[in-house]
Amino acid sequence: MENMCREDLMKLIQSTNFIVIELAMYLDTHPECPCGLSAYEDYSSMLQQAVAIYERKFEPLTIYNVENNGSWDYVQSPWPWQKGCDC
Amino acid sequence: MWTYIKMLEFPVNIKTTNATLATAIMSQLGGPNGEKGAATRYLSQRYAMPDKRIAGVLTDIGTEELGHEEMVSTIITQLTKNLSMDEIEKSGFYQYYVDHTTGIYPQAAAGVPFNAATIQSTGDPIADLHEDLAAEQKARLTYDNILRMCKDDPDVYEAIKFLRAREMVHYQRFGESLRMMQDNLDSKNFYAFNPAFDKGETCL
Amino acid sequence: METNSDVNPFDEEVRAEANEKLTADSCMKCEQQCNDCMRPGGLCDNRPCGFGPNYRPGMNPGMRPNMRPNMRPGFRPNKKPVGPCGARPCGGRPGMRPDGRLPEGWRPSDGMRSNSLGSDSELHSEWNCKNRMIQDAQGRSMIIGCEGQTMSGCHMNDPMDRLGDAFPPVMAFVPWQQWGDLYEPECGLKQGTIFKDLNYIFCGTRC
Repeated sequence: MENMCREDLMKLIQSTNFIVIELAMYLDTHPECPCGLSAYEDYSSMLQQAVAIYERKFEPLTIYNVENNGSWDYVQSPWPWQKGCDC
Repeated sequence: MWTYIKMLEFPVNIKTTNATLATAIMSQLGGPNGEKGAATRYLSQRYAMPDKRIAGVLTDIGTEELGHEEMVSTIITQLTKNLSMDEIEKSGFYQYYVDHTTGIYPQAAAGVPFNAATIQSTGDPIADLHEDLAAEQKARLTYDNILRMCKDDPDVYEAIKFLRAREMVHYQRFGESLRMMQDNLDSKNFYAFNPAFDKGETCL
Repeated sequence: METNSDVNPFDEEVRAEANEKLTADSCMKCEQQCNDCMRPGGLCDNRPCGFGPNYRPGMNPGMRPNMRPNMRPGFRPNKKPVGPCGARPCGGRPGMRPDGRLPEGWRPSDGMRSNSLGSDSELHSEWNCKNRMIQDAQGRSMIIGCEGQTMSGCHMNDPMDRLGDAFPPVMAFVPWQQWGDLYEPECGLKQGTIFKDLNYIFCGTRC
């Protein structure tokens, strides 16, 4: 995970984030399901790890944990809708 | 309280512009079965939901719908990004263009602005959950209709397919929420009282 | 119990056949969707259900030290009484008799999963009009015939009657999702759900 390129790490974050969303919603209606709880535990810790690496190596994803590099990095990278449209 | 994450729920990278498709997909932002209505519906209904787990379902699904608004808006932005004046004039898109250029404005495909009259929040948990089940089906069929239009553009197709699949999962969660609500009520008469309003029962 | 269906829903063979059909269908669906997946074989890997990426062979499925041994996926303990002013309204919990016995016609849970009726390619599957399995929140199940297609008159022999008071009229019921197989992460994102059981793809075309 530490050596992944930006695109691959973003893909990993998106797919893991999706699983966490899906499991959270499943657990809302199955709050006692041990299978759901253990899968949630695995994937949410994996997500936290991936996000921490991405934010440290590439760019902030939220307004929390933005590093002070002399400028406000949060607005330096493109917004999600600007990606992939040759702009 | 909400926190913004600077990424889409599902990647959207559209290479080919298509004004007609953009006009159709716009309905899933501001149309009668669209994502803005969905988010508004669920996030409004949750305040009258006595069961904490179901309030959680409404919050989480409503939040995800906000993410879907962002996805649909991104699809429209990218589909119209580099349109030529010729393409705008020849497609039906000129009617939108004249008021909104290529900005994002929530409206139905036929031009009706987003209207909260297309949603309900009744203050009655059973009625609200039935409304939610119906809403997911209406969004699902709208995505079916869009999928028939974008078979030639895999970039758009994949994103719409994803959004459609989410409607099915949400339907299941609302169905389970209805089951939880039923467990809280009297199976001999689910309609004896409104658990979000009445303080007691009288049987006359 | 009288019924106009010629299939005995409680027959072990009928159940085995139904189970086999469900498994075959979901596997076929899985393989079809595997083909275009980013990770080859990603949908059909050997990780048992209930495990995330940290699975190691020999791990105990979904069990944690604080779980009671008889807990199963979807298990929900009896809830505290709820209702106006803290009093549980009259009547029992749907599907359960006051003495806790199964309503007539129910089979105890065997862990079989819900849905997967017919495969995606069979929009008018014969399967849909033969027998289908229905299931309640506790995973208890029964096979019922497609009486809606064949019955006439007053629907006096509706097999749903055999469910006792589990599904009273004037109310909609969606079966509980039972924990089942998950897609691999990238595949799940592509499919729009991580649950194989909830993936109903669209196949419609029009010239």
